[in-house]
Amino acid sequence: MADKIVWIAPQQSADRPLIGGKALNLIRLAGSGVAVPPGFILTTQLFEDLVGQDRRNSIQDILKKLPAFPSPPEIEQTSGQIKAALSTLRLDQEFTSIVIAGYQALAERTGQPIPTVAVRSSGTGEDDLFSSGAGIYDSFLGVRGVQALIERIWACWLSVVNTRALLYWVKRGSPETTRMAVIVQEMVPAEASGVMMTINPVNRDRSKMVIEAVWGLGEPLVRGEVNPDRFLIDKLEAFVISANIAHKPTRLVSERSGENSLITETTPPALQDAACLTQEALEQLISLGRRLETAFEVPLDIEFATCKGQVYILQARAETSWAKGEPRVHGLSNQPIEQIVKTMLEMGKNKR
Amino acid sequence: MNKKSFPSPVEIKAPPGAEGWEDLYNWYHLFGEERAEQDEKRFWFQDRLHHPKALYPYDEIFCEGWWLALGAFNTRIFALPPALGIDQRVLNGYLYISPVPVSNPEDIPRRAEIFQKRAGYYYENWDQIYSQWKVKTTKRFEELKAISFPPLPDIEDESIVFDRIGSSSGYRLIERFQRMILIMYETFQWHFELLNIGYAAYLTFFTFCREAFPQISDQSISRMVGGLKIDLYRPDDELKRLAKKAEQLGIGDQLIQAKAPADLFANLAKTAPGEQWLSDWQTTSDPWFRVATDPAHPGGYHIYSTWLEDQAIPLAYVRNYIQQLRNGESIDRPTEKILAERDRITAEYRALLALEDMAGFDELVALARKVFVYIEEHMLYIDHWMWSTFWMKSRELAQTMVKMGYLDDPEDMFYLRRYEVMEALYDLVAGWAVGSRPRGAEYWRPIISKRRDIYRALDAWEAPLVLGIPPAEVTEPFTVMLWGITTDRLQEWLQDAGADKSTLKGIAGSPGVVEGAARLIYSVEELETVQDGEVLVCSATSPAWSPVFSRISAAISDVGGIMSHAAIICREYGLPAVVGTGNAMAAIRTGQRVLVDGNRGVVSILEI
Repeated sequence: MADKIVWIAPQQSADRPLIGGKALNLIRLAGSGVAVPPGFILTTQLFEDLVGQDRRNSIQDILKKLPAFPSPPEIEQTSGQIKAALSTLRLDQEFTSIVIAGYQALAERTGQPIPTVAVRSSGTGEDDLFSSGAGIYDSFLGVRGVQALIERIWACWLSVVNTRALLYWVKRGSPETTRMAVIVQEMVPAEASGVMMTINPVNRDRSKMVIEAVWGLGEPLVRGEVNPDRFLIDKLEAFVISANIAHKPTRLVSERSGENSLITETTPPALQDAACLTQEALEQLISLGRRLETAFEVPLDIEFATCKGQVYILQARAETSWAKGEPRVHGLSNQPIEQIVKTMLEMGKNKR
Repeated sequence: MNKKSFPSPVEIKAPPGAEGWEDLYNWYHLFGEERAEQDEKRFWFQDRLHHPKALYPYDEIFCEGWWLALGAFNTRIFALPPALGIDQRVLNGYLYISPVPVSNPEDIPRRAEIFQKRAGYYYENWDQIYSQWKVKTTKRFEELKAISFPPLPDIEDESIVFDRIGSSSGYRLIERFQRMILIMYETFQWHFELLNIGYAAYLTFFTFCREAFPQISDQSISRMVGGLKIDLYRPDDELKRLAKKAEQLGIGDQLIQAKAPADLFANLAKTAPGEQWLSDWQTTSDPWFRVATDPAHPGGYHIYSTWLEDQAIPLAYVRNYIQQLRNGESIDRPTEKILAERDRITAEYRALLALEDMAGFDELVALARKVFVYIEEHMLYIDHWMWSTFWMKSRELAQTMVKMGYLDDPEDMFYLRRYEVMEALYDLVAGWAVGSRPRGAEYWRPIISKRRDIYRALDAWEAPLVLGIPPAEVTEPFTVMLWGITTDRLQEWLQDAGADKSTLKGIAGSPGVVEGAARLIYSVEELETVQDGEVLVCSATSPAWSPVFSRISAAISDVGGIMSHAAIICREYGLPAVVGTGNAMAAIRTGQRVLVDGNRGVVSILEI
C-alpha cells in the first residue's frame, strides 16, 4: 500500500517517478517546516497497476498510429480513443477503497467531516524546476464527498492523455505518455490567496520580491482574470517598498456545502479597496520566501493562502524569468575613481 | 521639463517693519540689480538646514565661510566634472542657495581628467590625509581656545616693557580678532578639503546600488556603509558612561534629585565618590561637551550655548540615562548588532551581482565606508568644536566691549557685521590708546536699536522654501545628499499647491512604520518635554539632540536628506524617520496622531 498512497508530510521519502514533481515539491515544502495543507498523493504505481500491461499495450498501439506531425483533430481523436479504453477503471474496488480510506484519514486530520479538497495532477515530466509545464492538465477545486472525489481523481488522471497534454508532449518531442500521480489536498478556507515571486520578474532583480494577492481563492489571480494587490518587497531588509492596492469587486470562495462548492461572489464593500494581506501576513510571507529560497537555492514562484492568521504554502517552483539568465554585468570598475568619474559625468548629462 | 516656476527672488518684498534690512548684511551677499538678470533665471532654496532663523549680521561669517570653501574645492581645486560651487544670497535675512552647473558642456571632459587625477590622489591616500587633517585641525582648535579678549588695562602690565613686547594690548586685541576670523575661514576650507570628494564617492556608491538593485531604498544603501563607532557619537557615549559610573559609585540618587548644577557639584565635592565622579565629569567636559545646542545643524548661530556652558543640559541627559538603567533598559547603542546587520546586507547584495562586478563593488563599499567616517566626524571637529568655540570667544569680546562702556548690551555686537565690529575695535582701541573717548557708543546706539527691530521683523517672517526657476536636473552632490533637494522633490514641491494637507512627502530616512503622538520641538531646552514613545517633529536635529532618540518612536524633520543627522541617528537606533518634508512643523501640531512611514518617506496626519 505504501507505494500506492503517500502522505504530504515531513520526512516522507518518495521519489519523482512514484509521485511526480509537484507532489515532490509539496513534500519538500512540508519538510522545510512551512505550513502546507494536509493531503495525500495517489502514486503512479497505483495507476500503473490499475491499468495493467494489456491495456498499456493497446494504448501504445493507439499512440503509434499518430503521425509524426499530427493535426489537432487527429490528436483529439487519439485522446478520445485512449480515454474510452480506460473509462471503466474508476470503478475498480481496490482503487475506490484506497481513495475512501485516504479521504477518511484526511477528515480526521483536518477535523472536517467532509473535507473540501483540491485534486491536482503531478506528472513525472512536469514541474521540473526549470520548466513549469503549467496548465496542461486538468485540476479540480472545491471537491467534496467521496463520489465527487473519485470522479475528479479519475478525470484528473485521464488528463494525462487530454488533447492539450498530447499536443504539449508532441511539441516537446517526447511522444511517450508521461506517468502521472494525483494530489488530493485540503483546500484551506482562504481569506486571501496569492503568488509570491522571490525575485522582481520585471527586471530580474534578486534583492526584491513581488507578492500579488486577492481575496478568497487564488485561481482568478493565477489565470490572470482579476487585478491583484501588488506588493514590492525589499527582500534583504524585509519591508514593503510599495503597495498597490487594487479594486477587488469579486472573489472566489469555496462553500462548505454541496458537491462542487466554488462560487464567485461580490466582495463585501468594506473589503473591495482594502489590502487583502495584513502587515503580519506580509511579514510571515517575506520570512517564508527567504527561507524557501535558501532551501531550494533558486528564486521561487510560491503560491500561498492565508487563513486565520496562518500563511499556508500551496506550491513552490522555480521562477521562470530567472531561469533565462545570469545577473546583469554592470561593468563596475575595479578602480573606484574611474567609477566616480563615470557617475559624475552621468549626472551632468541631464538624464534621469 | 515642467514649465512652472516658484516666485522670483526680485518679487519678494521686505516684510513690514523690516524696510532697510539690507544694511544688516554684506552688500556682496545680496541679490542686486547688477546681477538680477542672471539670478532670476536660477533656482534658490532656503537653507533651513543650517539657518532656520533669520541671520544675525555678525553671524553671516558662517555662511560666507562655506560659500568660499565649498565653492573653491568643487570648482577650482578638484574640478568636479558636472558641478561648480553653491552660490548664496541673503534675502530678507534668510540664506538662499543655488548650485551652479558647468555651463559649457565642453568643459566637462577636461574637468573630469583633472578630477580623476586629483581626487584619485586623495582617495588613495585618504587615511593618511585624514589623520594629518585631524592633527592640523586640533592645532587650530587649541590656538582658538587660547585666544582671549580681556578688557584693556588702565596701565599696561610691566611685562610689555621687561619682556620687550613692543606693542600694546589694544593692538593685540585687533590682531587676535583678525586671527580668529582667519582661523575660522581656514578651518572651513579644511572642512571641505575632504567633504566634497567624500560625498562624490558616497554618491557614486548610491548611484551604483540604485542601478544594480532598482528601487533599493536609500537607507538600505546607507546601512551598508554606516554603523561604525565614530567620534561624532562620543559626547552621547560619554554621558552614558558617566551615568553608569554614577550608579557604580552610589551617587545616582544625588544626581537624580539635584536641581541646579552648581548646588550638585558643591554637594558632590563633599564625599570621596562624589569627588571622583565630579573630576571625571570635568575632565570629560572639555572637549566632549563642546556640543552646540542649535535646533538645526550646529554652528550657524551665536545664540545657542554649548553643553559646556550650560551643564544642566548634559546633566539632564545623565539623569535620564540613570532612570533608564534603573528601569532595566539598555542604554548602549547596539553597535555590534548594527555592524553585523551591515555585513549581512552587504554580503547578500554582493552575492546577487555578476562575478565581474564583485571586485569593483568591494572597492566601492570600502571607499564609501572610509569617507563616511569623515562625513560624520567633521561635524564634531568643525561645526561643534571650532564654531561653538568661536561663538564663545565672540561673546567674550562682546562682554569686554560692554565692560569698557563701548556697547550697552553684549547682544548689541551681533547686530554689527563683522567688518563693523572690526571698525568698532579700531575706534575703541584708538580711544583707549590716546586716553580720550571713542565715538562708538553714541554712534552705534541708534543703528543697533533700529537693527534689533528689523531683525525681529525678519525673524517673524515666513521665508518661502524655493524661489526662481527649477533646473532640469540637480547635479551637485551636496544639494542631493545633504539638503535632500532632488529633481523629483522640486517637481513635487511645484505640484504641492492645493494638495492633500493630511499627507506630507519627504525622504525615507530610516525604515519602519510607526504611529504615535507628535511632539514639536523648536529648541534643545524643550527636549525635556518629550514623552516616551512620541514622534519627534523638528526643523532638523544635531548631535546635541542625540540622547532624545532613546525615548522617541520616530522622527520627522523639515529639512535634510539621507545624510542628515536625524536620518543617520534614526538608522542607528532603528527608528523610522521621514526627513526633508519641507513643512512638517507648520502642518503638524503637538499631540496629533501621525503615521510615520520611513520606508516610503510619507507622513500621514491621522487626526486633523
